[in-house]
Order: sequence, then C-alpha cells, then structure tokens
Amino acid sequence: MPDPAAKNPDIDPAIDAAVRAWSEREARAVSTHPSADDLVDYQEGRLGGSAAEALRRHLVRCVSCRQELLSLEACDQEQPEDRAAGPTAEDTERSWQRFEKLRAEARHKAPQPITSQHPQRATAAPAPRAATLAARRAPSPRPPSTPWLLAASITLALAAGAFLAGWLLGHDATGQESVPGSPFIFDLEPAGSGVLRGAVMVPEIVVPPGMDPLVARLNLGDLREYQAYWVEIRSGERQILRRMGLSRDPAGSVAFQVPRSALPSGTLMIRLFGRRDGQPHELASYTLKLRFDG
Amino acid sequence: MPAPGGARTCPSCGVENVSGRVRTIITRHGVGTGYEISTEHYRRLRPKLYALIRRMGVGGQEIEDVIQETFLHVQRGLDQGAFDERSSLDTWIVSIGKKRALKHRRRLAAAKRRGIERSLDAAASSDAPLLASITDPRPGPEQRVADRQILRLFARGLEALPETFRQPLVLQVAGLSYQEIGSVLGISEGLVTSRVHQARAKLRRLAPRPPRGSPN
Repeated sequence: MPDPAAKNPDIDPAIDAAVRAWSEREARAVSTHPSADDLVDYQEGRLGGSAAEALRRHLVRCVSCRQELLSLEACDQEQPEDRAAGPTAEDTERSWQRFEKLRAEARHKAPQPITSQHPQRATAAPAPRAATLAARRAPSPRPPSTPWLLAASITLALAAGAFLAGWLLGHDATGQESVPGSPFIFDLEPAGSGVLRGAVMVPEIVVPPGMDPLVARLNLGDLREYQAYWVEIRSGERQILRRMGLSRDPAGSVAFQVPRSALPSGTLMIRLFGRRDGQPHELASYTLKLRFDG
Repeated sequence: MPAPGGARTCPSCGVENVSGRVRTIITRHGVGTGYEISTEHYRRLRPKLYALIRRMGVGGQEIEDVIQETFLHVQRGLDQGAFDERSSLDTWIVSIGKKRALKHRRRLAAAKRRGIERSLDAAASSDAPLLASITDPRPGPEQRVADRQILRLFARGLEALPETFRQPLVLQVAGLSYQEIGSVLGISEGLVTSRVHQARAKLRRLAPRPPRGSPN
C-alpha cells in the first residue's frame, strides 16, 4: 500500500495539528500534579505498576512536570564546574557541626526551625513515637501548627525520656513508659502518596497504665486537599465506636484523640475519610490491636 | 540482646543494629534510632549533594539549607526504619536530596510557575486557528471544509491509537527529542523512533486518497 503522505505533503502537518489540539484539551483537564517524591521515584525507576503508568500519562499531558523530569535527568549528569564550585573542607566541617546540633535538637528538644533566615521553611523535630504503621518513605518533617500539637510534642519529648529509661531496663520496644495523666500518642503514617493504603501488618499497641487519652496522628503529606475530613473507629466486630470530624493543619497533619475508656482492648479499625465535591473518599485505613496494660 | 526483627549492621557506623517490632529500630545509638549518619559519611556525601542541589537551580545559602534538610530527613527516616536496603545508603540519601531540592525549587518557583501556568492556560484556551498550520494563508471555503474533515479524522484516529503509540507522538509534536521522549516514557530511543513512525503511519492511512489526476 503506498504511503499517502508521500503524495500529500499536508498530511503530517495535519496530524501535528490534531495532536496539538488533543494536547491542549488534555492539558486543560490536568488539575493535580505528582509529588516531588513520586516524580523523583519515577525518574529513578523506583515507581512501578499503576502508579508509574499514571505518572507517565500525566507527563504526556503536563508541560511543567515534564520539564521538571527532564531537568532532573540533566541534574544527574556531573558538570565540569562542579569541582570548582564545590564546598571547601572548612564549609563541610561547619555544615557537619550544624547538622549535629540540629539532629540533637530534633531528638531531644521541642521543634526548632532549621534556619532563622527562612522561617517559612522551618522544619520540626520528629516527635518520638510509640508506634509507626507502614511508613513507605521518610515523611516530610513538618512544624506543628496547632497549639495542642505543640503541647503534645513537648509531652512526647518527656515520654521519650521515660521510654529511653524503659528501654534500657529491657522494656518492650514499642511501648511508652507509663506517665500517668499523659496522653498516649502514636503516629499513623501514610503507606503511599496520593492514595493511602492500609498497613501491611497488624501491629499491637500496648498502652501503659494511666496514660490517657489516646492520640493518633497522621501526616497526609502532599495528599491533595479535601473540603472536610473525618475519622471512623470500629471495633473488630465492625461496630462503630467513634466518628469525629478532623481539621488538617497547614503542615498537612490531622490528629484525633479518644478517651481511654472509649476503646476496648482488641482489634480496631481506623479509617480516615475526606469529602470533595460532595463525595466521600476513603483516604486511609489501618487495622491494629490495642492492649491496655494495668 | 535478641533481634526480633533480625540483626543488621549500620552501613554508616558499622554498629550492629537490632530491628524491633512495628518497624521501630533500636540500636546502641539510642531508642528509636536506626542507622546513624557518621562524620565520615557526611563528609563524603556532602560535596556530592552540594553539586546536585546546585545543578537543580538552588543557589547561595539555600544549598546549605537543603543539605541540612536532607540529612535531617535522612536521619529521621533511618530512625524510623524507612531505609529498606534495596539500594545503597548513599543512593538513598542522594535520592532524598534530590526530592528535597525539587520541593525547595517548587516552593520558590510557585509564584512564577503560577504565572507560567496562567499563560499556558491562556494559550490553550485561545482560539488559535488549527487549520492555519495546514492550509495556505488564504484557503478557499472548500479547502477549509476539507481540512476540518481531515482534522476530525485524525482526532478520532488519535483517540483510537493505543497509548504506547500516542504518547511518543504527542511528545514529539510537543518538541521533545527522541532521547527526551525516551526519558519521559522510560523507554529506549530506538523504541521511541519506531513507535512515532508507526503512530504516524497508522494516522496517515486514515487520510483520504487524493483524487486521480490531481497534480500531487
């Protein structure tokens, strides 16, 4: 069969015009963009399956993300000026000392900003944790932006001290040392970006005597904004124990607290929902075993 | 001490670590701490990170800020057992550095990008005559009708193309080189060339044949 294009030089420009029209239409439909983490994971070949396919489709439609990806490719190549523009040994030594100081602060003090020059990019110290569920990647350090969260972080720092003492005495690695009257705080971590999946295991969380209430936190990271959030706690028999509205702080975290007396020992299901355009969406689901000591 | 989650050796400091339950790692460094970033590790990796972050368009004091963010993020990830050892520790750290730099760049460029997006939107929503590129400056009415028909034909054909063929064609028309298309789609340059050629061939077959006796 003869190639029609060979007889009609207008055909390829017409194809190009149709492709451009398609691209423009598709670009207008793009409303969200992949997180920096996902983009780098894709570029480095660590994003697989449907997530990679979805990102590939996005890249075909989104000029800005495509440019970001191509710039990441370019940045992987070492440049001749790298050596000349590199840091001196003295710079690195100062940098190390600064890092050591910040690391110590992050571990032992209340949250501190990384730099006073850029307070808007302040980074919080990681709060000590009693339990972490399914952390797929290192979560972004974020500042606590609600007063009670700040208070909780300080309480956690105290609890961490008690935890350290308990560990040295051979206590369970996942438990907090009992500080009667203190909240028992644990983090629920996103297992993925975009859509959060359930934990891959069912951990047991042991609540020491006297610690009340239970506070669960979840950093939603770069997950898109929803108009409203709520959490549902069910027993192992699927009975709803609690349902409460949540607010997401500017740093992307949500948290909720439940009195010790409101929860039974045993299996619990925690499901987080968001509402957008009037439709509920399940954002995360965790199953865990709760055991009250004492 | 028993190792409920299996014993591992810290690639940074060489100290044996013990995995605890619920992905919490306990080591001799302290409670909740996994691998520890050592001085030597920091000194070895910082120049590499510095160059990478600079190449990503971050400049001045901000490079140091991103480096600090990176190492703190890394240490936090190590503390939480996020390093799964599927790659080397160095590779993992450089990857985190890249992510932090990209996030930093996104923050700084947000306002500018919004401006660019607005202009892109404006360009996309403008009623630029698509036929202008395929017709003579002043085509006659019959020619315009014929061109519209061809465009509709190709638009339908494009929708019907499998994505594996449509994607490289769309990127080629967007002005990317075959090498860049390969990077975006994660396929070889040779495969890009082949798919673009096949996609065009499939669409060309849709074009109406010129009438017999036409000058072309």
